[in-house]
Amino acid sequence: MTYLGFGIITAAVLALPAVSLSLLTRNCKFFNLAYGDQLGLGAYLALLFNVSLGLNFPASVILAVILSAILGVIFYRVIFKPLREHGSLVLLIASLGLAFIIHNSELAIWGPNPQKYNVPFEAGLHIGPFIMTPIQLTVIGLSLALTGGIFAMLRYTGIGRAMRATADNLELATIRGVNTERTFIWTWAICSATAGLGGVFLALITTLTPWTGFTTLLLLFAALILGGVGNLVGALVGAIIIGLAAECSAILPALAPYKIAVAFAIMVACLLLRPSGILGKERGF
Amino acid sequence: MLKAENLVKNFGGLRAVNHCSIEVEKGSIVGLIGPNGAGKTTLFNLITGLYKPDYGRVIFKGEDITGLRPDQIYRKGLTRTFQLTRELKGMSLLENMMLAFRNQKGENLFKGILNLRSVREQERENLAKALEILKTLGLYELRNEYAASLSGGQRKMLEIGRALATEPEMLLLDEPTAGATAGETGKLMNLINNMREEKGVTFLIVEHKMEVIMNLCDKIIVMNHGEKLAEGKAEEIRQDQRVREVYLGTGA
Amino acid sequence: MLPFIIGIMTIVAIYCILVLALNMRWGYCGLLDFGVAGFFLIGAYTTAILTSAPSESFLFGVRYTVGYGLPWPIGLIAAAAVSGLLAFIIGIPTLRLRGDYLAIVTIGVAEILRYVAIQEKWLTRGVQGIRNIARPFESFFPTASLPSDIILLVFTLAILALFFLIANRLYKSPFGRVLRGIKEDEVVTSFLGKPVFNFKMLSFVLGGIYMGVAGALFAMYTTAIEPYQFIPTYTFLIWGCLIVGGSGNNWGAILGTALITGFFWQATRFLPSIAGQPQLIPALRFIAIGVLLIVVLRLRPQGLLPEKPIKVEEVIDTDAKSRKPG
Repeated sequence: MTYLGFGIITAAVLALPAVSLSLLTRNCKFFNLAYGDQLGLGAYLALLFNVSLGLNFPASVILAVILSAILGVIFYRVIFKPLREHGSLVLLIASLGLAFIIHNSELAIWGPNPQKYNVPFEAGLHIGPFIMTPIQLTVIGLSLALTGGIFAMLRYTGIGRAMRATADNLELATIRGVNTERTFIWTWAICSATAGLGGVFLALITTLTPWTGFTTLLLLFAALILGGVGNLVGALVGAIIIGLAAECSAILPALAPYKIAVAFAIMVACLLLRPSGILGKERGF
Repeated sequence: MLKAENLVKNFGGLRAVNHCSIEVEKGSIVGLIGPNGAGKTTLFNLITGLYKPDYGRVIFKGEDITGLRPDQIYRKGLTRTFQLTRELKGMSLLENMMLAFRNQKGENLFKGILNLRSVREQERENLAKALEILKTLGLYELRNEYAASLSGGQRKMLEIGRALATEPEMLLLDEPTAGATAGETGKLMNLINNMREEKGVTFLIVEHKMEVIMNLCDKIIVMNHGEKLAEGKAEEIRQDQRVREVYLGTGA
Repeated sequence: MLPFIIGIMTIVAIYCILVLALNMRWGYCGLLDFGVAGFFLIGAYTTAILTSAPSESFLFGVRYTVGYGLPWPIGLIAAAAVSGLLAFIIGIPTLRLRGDYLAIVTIGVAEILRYVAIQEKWLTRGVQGIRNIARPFESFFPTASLPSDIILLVFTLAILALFFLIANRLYKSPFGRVLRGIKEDEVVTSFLGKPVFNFKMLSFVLGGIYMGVAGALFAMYTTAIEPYQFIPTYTFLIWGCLIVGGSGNNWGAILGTALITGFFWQATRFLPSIAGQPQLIPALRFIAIGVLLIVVLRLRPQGLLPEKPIKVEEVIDTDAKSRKPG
């Protein structure tokens, strides 16, 4: 039962970054391999504010999220926008380079050992058959709420509509007067901010090392592919399945360290049987 | 030679080809016309294996080739060109041409590494053939240039040249004279006629230029909304009322 | 000093083989392989398991023996075979899909292999790693001596030279032409009658064989391997060498490897470690490489030595001339 509990937490924590990554992938038309490390970076920034600078935790998180958003826009302008004309494969390689830089920066500054935030230790509450701490519950709640927020943003706000338009057909959107550059900036800002926040959540429920980001990246891509690349609801469904499967596979002791392998096996099976994913590609990618 | 029976292709909610059946006799030159969006290129894609039809069959030389991959269809003797030329931009014209030849022994991994005499001889033969074709099309001087540096008309020529190198029994041309000058168009028409006379190649050509269609084609098929609208000789089509309606003012 | 230089040259040569392999997959055929470290690992571990002296390992309280002590040629050939087989298995589902998917699957497979190496102690001795791996001609030149190092270097260079010749030959051959056609435009190449999947698979498997051999050589070089030597960082390093040196060009691959591996990576070992922060200098090295990669992509995406255009007539002529019996 505890496995199921972990599964739910993992699924919830993966949901927000998965949907964000799906949004980013769909809009920018390439797989951003640095996204996992953007999660890690957010977590480490919060660590910086919380532990090194001694700010209280909520303030640290907010600052980390804002800084993540700003950095995301910088990455876009400095690295990805100039390379856009060279195609998705070059962008992929560049994102790998960025991931590398972020990862090694974390390693250089904080070292390889796991890090922890200054948060009070809490006892678990009994929620039905599960035992969860208030922090875990907050994380689940916020993750799901913000994920819903992304869907609402896309549906109801002007910038959301602009994002959908540019994802569908960039030229058409430009002709129709959408400010595509501003849309890209907002896309990167929002997706990087959620990455940062997702990283903090992740660090709260598991350990934080320079490897955390990269490992999560694999799970996120498994979720995306499972649900259908370019399909945001698919990403959500994929995250839930991957999160549950990865944690619940620990029920079999032989499989315990192979959580990622399980997620991967699911992804590869998906690629073999139904490459377009469970829910299929919503828009062409 | 080629028979398409009752082909249907849907894209999402849109039916691009709707129970279309056409037939091309061996050694003939058949034109395929119709307004934009009539489904001509989709039909080509269905016949040549880029798409699988949702329903219907394609029969080539008496053999059912429905759903075969493009490279398998190539081996049966059917080649096509593309409306928007797809030259291999990062490779030279000669390389583009050399790639098109059949049964290249050097494409086998081991034979390629060992560079056996048979491989070298075949490369020399193919090179000679490629140069010949390039000369006919007026591209000889540019043979070592990257295909990316060609002009629009030259790219069309290369596209045709590559198709010729495949030594096809039947050739599907998708708007071969689009963007070509009058001189180039004339040259192409001669080329097509020669190929039919000398090598017995069968043609199915999508075209918009009426003088090409009228002067070159034995038979014309008209498509609209994914269906075959009319079929017949040049004069019959010219008189056909339904065809004139479809082409209102486009100068039939 | 001499052993140090010989050591650097050997490791650079080994990385050159890896970069050549990656060039065959990506530079020739356009296959995105982000799992180089995985193939490297499998080659190294196959050799290690087969040729190392038997040693003990414990897993859940059960005692296992790892290492069969077989002769080194078996280790080398097996490494090539197993790595090629791995490529084949990965290729079947993924080579039919978009290149991006191959990238993700290869990353994942490489990491999973590393986890297997860490976990399955009965096979790999886990994080302890495997030691006493056999070197070529060990009976004549005992390991941990200068002659042994030199022999290994010569051996490695010989293999590198062979692989280099094969790679170059392939590039100019009709086979290589098809691969390049696939990279340019897969659909058109298919319409020109080439079974694209088969060619991709051959390119991928051949790359796998090269990488497996490189792994075997690496195991022989270090005589002791452990999972941490195969982290994704090294995949990234190989990509950096290829991009900076010039993807598509084998001489560029060599140049890029020599520069990045030789200078950046190995030479900065001379820099003193900052007290209390042992990971700082190595991390900075890698950051520098990451920055260099992005800078090269921005300013000179074709790399230092760009791809050499092929003049078909020249290729065919030189073949004719060099073969003239007289």
